[in-house]
Amino acid sequence: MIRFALPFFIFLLFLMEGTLFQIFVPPSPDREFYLVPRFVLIAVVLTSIYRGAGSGVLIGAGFGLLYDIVYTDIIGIYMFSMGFTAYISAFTYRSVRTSFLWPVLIIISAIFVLEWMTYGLHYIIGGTDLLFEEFFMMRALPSLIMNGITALLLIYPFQRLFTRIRETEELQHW
Amino acid sequence: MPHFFSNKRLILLMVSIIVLVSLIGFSTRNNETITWPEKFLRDTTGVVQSLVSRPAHMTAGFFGNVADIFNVYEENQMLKSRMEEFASLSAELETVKQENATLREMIDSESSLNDYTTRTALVIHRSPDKWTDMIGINKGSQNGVSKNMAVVTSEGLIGKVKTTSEFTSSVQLLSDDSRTNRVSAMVATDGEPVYAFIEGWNEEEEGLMLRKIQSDAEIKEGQQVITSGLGGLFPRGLAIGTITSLEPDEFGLSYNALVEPAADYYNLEQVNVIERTSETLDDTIQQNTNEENEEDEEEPVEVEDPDAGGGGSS
Repeated sequence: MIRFALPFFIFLLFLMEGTLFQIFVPPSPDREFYLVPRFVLIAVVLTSIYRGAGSGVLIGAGFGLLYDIVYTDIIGIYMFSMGFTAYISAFTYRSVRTSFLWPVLIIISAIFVLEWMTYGLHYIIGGTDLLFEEFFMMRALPSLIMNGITALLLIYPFQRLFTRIRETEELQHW
Repeated sequence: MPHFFSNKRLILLMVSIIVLVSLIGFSTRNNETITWPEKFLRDTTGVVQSLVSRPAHMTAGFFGNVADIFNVYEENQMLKSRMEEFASLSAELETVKQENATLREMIDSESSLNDYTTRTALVIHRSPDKWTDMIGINKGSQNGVSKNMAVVTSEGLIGKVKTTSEFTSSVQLLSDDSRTNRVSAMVATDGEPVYAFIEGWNEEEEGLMLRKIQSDAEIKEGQQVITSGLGGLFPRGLAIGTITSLEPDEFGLSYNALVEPAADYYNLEQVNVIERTSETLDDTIQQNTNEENEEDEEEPVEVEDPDAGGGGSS
C-alpha cells in the first residue's frame, strides 16, 4: 500500500495547486507579480533525489502530462519540462539525502529551470511575448521565494515518507 | 546529473524533444474537440476537484465574510442610496419590457437574440501557471454545455467555453492572452449600435481591448460595452464593461478602446453558462424551442437593451 502513497500525496499537491491555492490566494489585479505554485515539482525533485532518476522522470512526466491535460490546453510542455527537471536534479548522493539544505538548494534551482523552460517554450510557440527581465521579476523571483518556503515545509514529511517506503521495501526483500 | 552526456542519454533527449514537438503540434492544431483519454483524465480529476473545491470555497467565503463585517456600515449607506434608484429603474424596466412584448407581437417575432437559458456551475480549478487564464467548471457536455457558450457571473460576461469533456469544461476568460480569444461586442450608444471586437487583455493598462471600431462611430468614454450576439452562441446584451479610454489605431483607420471589465475575473466561485435559445431563423424550430422553454420552466431572461433589434445596417 505504501507504494501508492507517493503518487497519492503528489496528486493532493496537484489539487492544491489548481484548486485550493487559487481559492485561498486568488490572483489579484493590484499585484504586480504572479504567484505560481510549483508544489508538484517540489515533490518530483524530492522523488528524484531519494528514489533515483528513473522514478523521478516517470513521476515527473506522468504528473506533467496530467498538468498539461487538466490545467492547460497544450500537451507536452509540462510533461517534457518536468521530466527533464526531474532528470537533471537526480543528485542521489548520501550526503545530499541526509542533509536538509542541499535538497532546498536543488529544489530552488529546479524551480528556476522549470519556470525558464516553460517560459521559453511558450515564447517559441507564441504563447507569450514577455521579455526576459519582466519574466524574471514578475514570475521567476516571486515563484522562487514562495515555493522555496513551501519546500522547507515539505522536505521533512517527504523524507519521512521515503524512509518508510525504503523500510517496507527492505522488509519485502528479506 | 552524473553521466548526462553519454550517447544513449543524448539519443533519449533527442527522442523526447521530437515527442514534445509532435505533441505540441498535435494539441495546437485547430481542434474542435479533445480526445477521449484527455476527457477521461479531466473527468476523473474533475470529480475529485469538485469534492475539494466546495468546502474550500465555503471556508474562503467564511473568512471573506468576517472581513466584510468591518465595512458593513459604509456599504449599507451606499446600498440605501442605490435602492431608490433601483426602484425607479425596475419600474422603467417593466414598462419597457411590456412595450417590447407588444412591439414584438406586432411584428410576429417570437424570439430574439436576447433570449437565453442559464446553467449554474461551480468553479473547480483555475490554471495555476498564469500563461493562460482559464478556469474549470463542473458542468460538461452531459449537462448540455457545448463549445463557445458564454459564461457569466452576476456582474457580466467573463469568458466562453473552450473545451468540454463529459462532466467538466474549461472556460477561457476574457483576460486570457490568446490570439483566438475574440468576442463580438457592441457599444450601446444613443443612436445606432457600434460593433467591434473584444480582443484579449492589455497587460500594461489593465483592461480589455476593444478593437476595430469604425472611425466614424460616435463613441465616448463611459459608454457600456455589451455582447452583440452576432457571432457564435452568445446572446445579445451581456454586460462586458465600460469604455475608459479611446485612441486611434496605428493606421488611423479605426479606433481602439480600453474597456474596464464589469465582472471580477479573480474571485470566481459560481458561474452561469448561457445558452442562446433563438438559434436559427427557421420558424418551426423557433417555436419548438419556445414551447420547450415553457415546459422546462426555464424562463428566457430578458435583458434591458434599448437597441435590441436595431439591426446591423453597417
